[in-house]
Amino acid sequence: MLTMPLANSPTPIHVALVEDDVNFQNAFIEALNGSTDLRLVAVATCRAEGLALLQAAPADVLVVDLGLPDGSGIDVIRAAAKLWPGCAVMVSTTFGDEMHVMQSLEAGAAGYLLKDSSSASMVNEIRDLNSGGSPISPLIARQVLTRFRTGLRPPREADEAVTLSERERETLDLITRGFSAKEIAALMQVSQHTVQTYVRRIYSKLKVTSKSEAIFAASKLGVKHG
Amino acid sequence: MVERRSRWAALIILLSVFLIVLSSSAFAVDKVLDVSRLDQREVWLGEYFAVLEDPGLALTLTDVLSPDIARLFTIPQATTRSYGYTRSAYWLRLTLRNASGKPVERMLEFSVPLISSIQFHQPMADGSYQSLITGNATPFATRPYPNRLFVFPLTLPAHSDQVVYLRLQSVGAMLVGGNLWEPQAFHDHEQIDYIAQAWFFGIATAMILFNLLLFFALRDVVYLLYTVFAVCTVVAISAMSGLAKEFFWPNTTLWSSIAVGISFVAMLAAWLLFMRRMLNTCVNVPRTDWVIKGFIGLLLLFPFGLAYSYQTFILPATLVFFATGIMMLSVSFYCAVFQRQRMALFFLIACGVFMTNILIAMLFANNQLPSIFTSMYQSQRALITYALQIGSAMEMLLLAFALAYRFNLIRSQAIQDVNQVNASLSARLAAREAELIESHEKLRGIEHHQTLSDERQRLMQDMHDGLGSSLISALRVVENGKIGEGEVAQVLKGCIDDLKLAIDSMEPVERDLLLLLATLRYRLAPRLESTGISLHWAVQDVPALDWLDPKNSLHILRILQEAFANIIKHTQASEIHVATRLEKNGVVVSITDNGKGFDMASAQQSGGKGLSNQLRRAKSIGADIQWRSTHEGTCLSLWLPQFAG
Repeated sequence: MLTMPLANSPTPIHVALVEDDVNFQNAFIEALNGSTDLRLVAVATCRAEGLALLQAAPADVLVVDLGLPDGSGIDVIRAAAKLWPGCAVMVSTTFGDEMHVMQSLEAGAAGYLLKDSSSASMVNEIRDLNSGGSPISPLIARQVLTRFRTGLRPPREADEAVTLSERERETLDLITRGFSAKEIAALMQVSQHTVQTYVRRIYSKLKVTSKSEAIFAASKLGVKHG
Repeated sequence: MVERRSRWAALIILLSVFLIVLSSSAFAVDKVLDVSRLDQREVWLGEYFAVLEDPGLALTLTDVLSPDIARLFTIPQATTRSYGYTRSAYWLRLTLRNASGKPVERMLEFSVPLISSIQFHQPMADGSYQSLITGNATPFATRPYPNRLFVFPLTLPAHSDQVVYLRLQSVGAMLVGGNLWEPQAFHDHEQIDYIAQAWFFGIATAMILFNLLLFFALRDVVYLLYTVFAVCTVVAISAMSGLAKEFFWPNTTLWSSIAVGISFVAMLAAWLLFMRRMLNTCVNVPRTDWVIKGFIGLLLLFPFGLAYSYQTFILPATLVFFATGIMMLSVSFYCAVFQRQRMALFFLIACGVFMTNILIAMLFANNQLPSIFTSMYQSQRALITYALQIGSAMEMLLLAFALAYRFNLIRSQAIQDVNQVNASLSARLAAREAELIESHEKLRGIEHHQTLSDERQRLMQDMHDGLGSSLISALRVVENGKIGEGEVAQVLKGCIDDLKLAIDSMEPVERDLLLLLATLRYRLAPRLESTGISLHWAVQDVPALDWLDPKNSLHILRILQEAFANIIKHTQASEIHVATRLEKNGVVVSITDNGKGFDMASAQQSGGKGLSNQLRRAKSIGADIQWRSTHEGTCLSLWLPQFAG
């Protein structure tokens, strides 16, 4: 991954962390301390603290663990998407498995952070996310493609916002065949950053889809019960 | 002759309580009929005929005119109309008088159409006789007046007496009867008579056509039997009434004599066949059914006998005829009353009508009806004259009603059957559905259980071979204190990679090999990057592998993971090429490095479990794995079949 030339930036990236595992907290703090452009502004160790945290001034990047002692991190992600709209939320996960990641993306996360990442890659991921890029794995890409192909059709007026563009679809397709962001950028003749922003856009569409699907499903349910 | 008459009478007595008086005759002077009196439209001639039997068939008109023979004429009782089945010829003498001063024209109607041969002798002005010979066995053209009956126009001069003679001979019953008509009255009567006959034949034709069409439409043989019955009835009635002679077979001689007997016998046989089928006698009254069959056989024999010698067989035929009628009456009575077959009611009534009908006709023909009937005018005797026609029409209609009733019965039975079948079908369907659901649930339960068990086994195996043994060896090394922190971290990272791949293998890859390879790359990228080896990704599209389930996916992942691990650990390569291609009904994944290569034999001997694990896994998924190693690098080719098995 490219390291963005942000070392000389006058305003550092404000990062907040919601995590109950002290070891990961330490590793995270250590990784951020190693950089000059990232600053940890808040740490919460449970769901309640995480939600309280959102009442303060927004951070640039929020890293949330899902398995919190008093509830799911999903709630924190969902609240952050509402209260801190400008903040990029990433879920920290051990395996980056489809179930946890998709759930988080639908709740409003823009990316995910593998807990076993090295300090350097952790810092890079946060920077990328802050600058508008999003990570994606082949399995997630396939899952997203499937999600947009099938599933409940949302109401018609929402269609435009939740249909993948040709470029986005192509990007996902290349990802499922194992090509890296760099290779994809070369194949599609765009910059690597553009590819990463495609992914971010796809994620935000996924969030809209899941919302409208939920509404759609609820309205159908309402009709049924009415 | 006496013997014959008593036999005939015995038959009559057998059939009717009315038949108690045997006709007798008395010697007397001929009654003279004064034709000039016009207070009557027609005059019944029964009492005016003087009768002479000629058993030898030898007498001629001259003989009859001679006083010796003329004396032998007798005056029968007024009601006498029948002389039974006889081979004798009968002479009838009729004395007519015109007392008026004007010539009078009259029509002499001899109203028995089945007399085989009839001679009419009328005196001319000069005293000589004009003779006409006609009869049922003579072509119709010989009749002086075209009518179904024998009609002889007469002219009586003013103030004159005339004696006319009729000579009758017949193969059938010798019936005698006639009327003398005023011509205009006769023409009026004739018209009414033909219209009445037309009604009968109209009804009969309608029934025949209707049922014949039903037979063609429904292919049910009862309609054909009914049609045959109705046709035979029409033939019999038309033959008896003389209409057949007039319209159907004017020129036949033998046939017109025997047609009545044969058609009646055929009609009865058809009726029996029809009844058998309608009342289902072979099931409802199996023993009686044999009797019915016997009667049918017997009846069907008679046409041959009748054709051979009508006069010999007509009496037995008549006996069988009555026996059949009584049998039919009993069978339909039994079925209607004791078996409560409503259909049999129609047959009972029709049979009753038939027998009554025959009885009336017989009584009428045999002078045994109460005199009140016979003294009525012809037009008022219509009911009796047309008894046969009316009765037959009633029979035909009643039996047609029976058919309609049967149709209704079949239809309601069919509807009931359909409902029952529907009900049982839906019940069976529901039961079958429940069965299917149950067995489906069971199957799913088994399948689910099997899947869980397979999955557990697979993960156990993987944990045991991979993660477990890696952790244990790391533990031993750490315990011995011969390992640095960095190495421990490496071992642990390897364990985590193992876990990640195991988890990935559980994701649905939809039989997409490229997706599997992509996942592998995604997981291994950080390690490759940290070692500085560059990866060239040159995959091309491959077909879906239908056997690529989680278990097989993990085998492939492990084989390739081992390949990468070997390259990183042992070859000091700086580049790795990953490519896919189609080959031999399968797909080849090749991993090529530019390292120093290795010797297969020594690699396997040195106890490294890696290669043998790869071979074992490849074998278990039906794949083939090959190494080509030189000092310029190694190429691993993993061939995977496109289809399982």
